[in-house]
Amino acid sequence: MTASRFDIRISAGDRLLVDAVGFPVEEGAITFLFGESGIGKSLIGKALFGILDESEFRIRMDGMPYHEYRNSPPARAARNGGFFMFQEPSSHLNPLLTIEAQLKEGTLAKAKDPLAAAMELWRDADRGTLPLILPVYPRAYRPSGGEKQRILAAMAFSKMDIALSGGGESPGLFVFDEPTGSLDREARNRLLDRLFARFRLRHETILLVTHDYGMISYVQSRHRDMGKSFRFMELFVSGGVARTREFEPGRFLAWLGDLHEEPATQAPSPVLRVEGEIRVFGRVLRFSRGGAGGRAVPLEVRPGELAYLKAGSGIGKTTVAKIIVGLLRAEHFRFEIDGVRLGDVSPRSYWRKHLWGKKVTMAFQHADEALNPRAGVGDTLRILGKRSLRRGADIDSALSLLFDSREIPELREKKVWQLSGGQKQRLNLLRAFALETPLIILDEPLSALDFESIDRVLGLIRNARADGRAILLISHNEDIFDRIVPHGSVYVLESAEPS
Amino acid sequence: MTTRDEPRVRVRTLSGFMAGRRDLLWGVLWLAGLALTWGWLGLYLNAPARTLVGDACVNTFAGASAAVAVAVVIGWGTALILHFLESSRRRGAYLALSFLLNLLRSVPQIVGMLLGYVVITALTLNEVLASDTSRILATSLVTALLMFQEVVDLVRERIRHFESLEFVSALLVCGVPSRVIINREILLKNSVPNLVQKAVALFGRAIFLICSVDFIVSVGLSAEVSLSNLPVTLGSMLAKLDSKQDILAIGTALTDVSVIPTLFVEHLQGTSVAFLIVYTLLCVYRVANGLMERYRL
Repeated sequence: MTASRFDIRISAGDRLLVDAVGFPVEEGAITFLFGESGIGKSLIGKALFGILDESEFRIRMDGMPYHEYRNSPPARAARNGGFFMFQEPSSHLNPLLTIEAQLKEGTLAKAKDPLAAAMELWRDADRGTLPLILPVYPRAYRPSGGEKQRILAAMAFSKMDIALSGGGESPGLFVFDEPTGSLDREARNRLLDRLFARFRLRHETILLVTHDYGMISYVQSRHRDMGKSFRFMELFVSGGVARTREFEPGRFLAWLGDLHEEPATQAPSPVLRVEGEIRVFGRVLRFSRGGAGGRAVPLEVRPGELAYLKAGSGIGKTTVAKIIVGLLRAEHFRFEIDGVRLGDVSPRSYWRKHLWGKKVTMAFQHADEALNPRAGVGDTLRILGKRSLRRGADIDSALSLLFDSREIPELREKKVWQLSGGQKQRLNLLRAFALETPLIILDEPLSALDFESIDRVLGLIRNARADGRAILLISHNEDIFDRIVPHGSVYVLESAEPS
Repeated sequence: MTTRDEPRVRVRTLSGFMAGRRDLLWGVLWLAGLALTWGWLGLYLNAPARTLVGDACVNTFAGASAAVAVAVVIGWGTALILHFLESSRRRGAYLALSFLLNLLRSVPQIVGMLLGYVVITALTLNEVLASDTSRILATSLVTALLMFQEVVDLVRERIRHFESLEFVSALLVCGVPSRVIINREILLKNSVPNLVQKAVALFGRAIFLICSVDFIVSVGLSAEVSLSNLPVTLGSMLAKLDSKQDILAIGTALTDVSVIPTLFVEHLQGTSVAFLIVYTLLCVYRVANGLMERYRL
């Protein structure tokens, strides 16, 4: 890692994917790499760490062939002393070893207390849950996504602690690829605090790949003294190639500062009203206002209102959303959608006949999974059967709400699997907004998006509200939505004792 | 940009192209083998016998193709009926249809074919099946009835797999009807390679069944109906006296190598028919395997 700026070129076959000129990866600095999902941020991180597969990609680092870079003494030292935290925690963790064994596996065994690094990332109130997951073999649903991310971060911190106790060696390279995607704001901030605390003691080389622009406001307010150590970069696509440029944090902060509370509607009757508790998977969930532990209230969303449902990672926000749209059965629930009363005895066929696509729809959290990868972009909207989406021009007009008009002709010809993560997310959202249902549920609508796309999505939400549509929002982007959603429309979902 | 790793990526040779497409390679080899055999027969086999071999090939392959088409249509439809009966909780109808299908499944295919031939014979005697085409189609229908459950299993497995994925839930909450999701999004957009692979495998199975049963029934079905007035197929060709002598010559060649050259010029009818059956089955098997490899089925 002696070079402080790298020219990185990554191609697949004849197609140039990434052309990052002068990308800063400096010893003793923290580089933030922002940008839309799926355009090459992870490729840059993997290329720098020396773990890209040469049979899949043609890579040149500072003009030299990849194997030369990878085997060079500085790169090897950075790799040996560093850690790569992969974006998808489920594929990073070994399903054949318990969480506890993985926390102490390989070089991590040299850490004095690997569990302590994990403990730091749990809230005081939740620390009792950590010993419960230590003997678990990782599966898709347990530990939760947020718990897995904290376990992986704890592994990286253990590696830093080993260097701290040993000292003397050159800095390692630590790549954190979307380390906070499944974390709520509090957990994200705790992770950043612990990372920066270690950085203050020993200046490692850190690359933080993320699309969570909200990090900027946090580090600028809470870690302003470290300003000289931060580098902000952004990956963007130009001419079909991903390129890097410096990102001016002030631009985001100014935009954030311009966001203002949008008044809640005063419509008399709610489109959605969830009464009392929801019992599901043996747990009891309830809604409150004014932070955790507040008074239990019914969840109500009125026409034109944006209601914001908050909860810690793994509490069950998505589960509640799926119960409301009738995809999951709860042991007990009672609610009303646009005048239709529903309960745990309502048959699924009722949702199918009277509610889906007519009174309620939902944009799912992971666009990757929510779209048919083999479908065309136009087909994804055309299948809704709306008269306004039958012709090519209509599809173009719908796409133009979230895509640049220049990219639409090419985009329309593509299959979903050929899109970047951010493009998929925008298509996922457009599909939900294209239906004129009185209630839309948005599950993490800003995930995978770059700054410009976030702005457009907020505009789309604003227009839907102006049209009198009710929106129930689930999001970890509290930095943004706390500024827009009035206090009276914020609900907290929490586990409760059965009443 | 002159590194040693570039040519590996950029230059695509024919062998490299075909390496990942074994199905295409074996499909081409099959067609080439058929063409070569036909050319050779044109040179060394008498015209009446050659016409007979040609008719046998056409009838067998057409019959097998029709059987596959019918099996896919019946299998697809039955799978949808089962799925909707199950999802709409009509337990009685679902169990009754499942029982009937399992009953049919319990009949060994070769026995089912023989029973089917009995029916075809009866229909031919009663002049219900008056033309060769109708008899071939009737044979195809019998063959399809014994094979279509493989398509049912495949279609249901695809539906079950995709129903556990989120994109199906996402389409449902957008109000897209289940039949559109299943037929268009799951089967047409995500299962065509699986269905083609299954169809190719069934094509091989149909040829095997038709040829086997035609050969077995060569002893005669009744006094009035025999293989001589059922459409000629590769299986029934093998049962002809000339072909049997040719097959005996192949057996002789195993102990007397001097007979081998005569196989290719003097014993062509039986040898070529046996070759066409074995070679077709080998190629179809390889094409099906190639499709599995190419699409990682």
